[in-house]
Amino acid sequence: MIHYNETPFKDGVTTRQSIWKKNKATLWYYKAPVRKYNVPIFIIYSLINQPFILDMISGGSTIEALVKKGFDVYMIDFGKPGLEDKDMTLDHFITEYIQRGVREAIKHSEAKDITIFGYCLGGTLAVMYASIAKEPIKNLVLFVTPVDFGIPSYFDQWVKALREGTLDSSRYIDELGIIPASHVEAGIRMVTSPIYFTPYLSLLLNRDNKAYVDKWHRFNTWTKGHIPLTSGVAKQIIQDFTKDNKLIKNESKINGQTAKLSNIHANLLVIGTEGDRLVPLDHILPIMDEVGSVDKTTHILTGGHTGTSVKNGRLPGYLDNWLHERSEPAVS
Amino acid sequence: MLHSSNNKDERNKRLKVKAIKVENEWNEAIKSGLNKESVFRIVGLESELEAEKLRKLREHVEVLSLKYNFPTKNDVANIAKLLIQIEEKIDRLEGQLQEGTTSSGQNQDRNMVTVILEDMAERQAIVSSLPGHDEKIVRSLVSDHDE
Repeated sequence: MIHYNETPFKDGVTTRQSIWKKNKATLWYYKAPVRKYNVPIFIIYSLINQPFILDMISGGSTIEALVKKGFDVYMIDFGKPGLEDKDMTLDHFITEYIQRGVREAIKHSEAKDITIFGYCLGGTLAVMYASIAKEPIKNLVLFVTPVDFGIPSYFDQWVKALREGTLDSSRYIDELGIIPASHVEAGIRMVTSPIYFTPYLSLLLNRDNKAYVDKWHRFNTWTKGHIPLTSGVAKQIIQDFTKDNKLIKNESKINGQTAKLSNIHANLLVIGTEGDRLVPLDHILPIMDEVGSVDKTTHILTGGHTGTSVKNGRLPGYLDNWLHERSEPAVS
Repeated sequence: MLHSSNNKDERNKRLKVKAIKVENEWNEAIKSGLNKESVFRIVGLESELEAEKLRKLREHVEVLSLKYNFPTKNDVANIAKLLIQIEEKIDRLEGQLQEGTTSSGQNQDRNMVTVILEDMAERQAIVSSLPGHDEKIVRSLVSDHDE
């Protein structure tokens, strides 16, 4: 009964160890069996989904592929916020969780610098953090990360009305305090696929394939395993991103400090996919013109929103090569 | 056998492609039906009404909780908030302690007590932190029993 509310598969498949905790957040450490690189990887995942998608199944896990390759990996899992966290904003997540977590990871690994991986909204947080970071970030890798919200990819008429300021939705959000996971799921489904039956058809057609059924079940658990959003974050996303598009204009503030993208000097790899309905390329690519990085690369893949960082249980070639050249291979 | 398996695969593939096409068409129809300023306005007004209902309900529950002596979700959240604040304070203290330890690390050797002679039979050790300042420390019997 204790585990009634726990999501199955959330612990992933790779051995890990908790090295720091704060409120509901945990910093996980995945030790490489043989460390081959001196720059560890710190993963920031989205605030609306659980990060176990990155370590969901053996042979299809990004984290497993990274540690097998010889990287020490750290990942911050923000946990599920409760009503007591309703006032938490992106500023809190960035300065009190991500920044602190990165410091803990650097201290734990005794590394000189670190690589940051950001996925989706976690990537947006990574960009904001990198723009004010005092920690030595050597590489910044952004997977399907929205930074420019200027042209709405969906519901443009709603965004237009929102920008014209005809209505204020913050009262409802304030009253809720925490946007329940079911509301988050409904919102994501509304902008992507309100009707959703082809995954079930795939399951039916592959019902005799045990490996497929197992993978489907795990993926479906992740798809439906959204996490609640604090009202502070929800309002900030609506106001600062959707309405005012502050990040790409260098107008975002983190605890009063301006998040200037030109402050980012880390080696930058930006990954987008052609078929992503949630985060299209025109939300992703404008960061390339704004950062101060000299070494910057984009990589466009085919496919959808997930599955960008692992292929057949290994790191995809583009990522493997990019990281190898920039992660100081350890001298054996 | 191989031929029939290939046929089945081909049929399944065609079915899947057709299903994806139908799903996309329905989804696009729903989304374009909803993507109107008038719908946004209705949703906005409904959310205003809902917010007002929630506010009234919350206030009623607060009054009832005083009357009938039960905690509300806000009470529980407030306690959890206090715990978070305590955790933050401990965290800060831990950080300060670590900083202190690191900064005094250079003096650590000087401050460390050196065991000069340990007498197991007498349960005592002669220790010194400074040359010429030896001190006897007798082990407690209680701690031995605890072990």
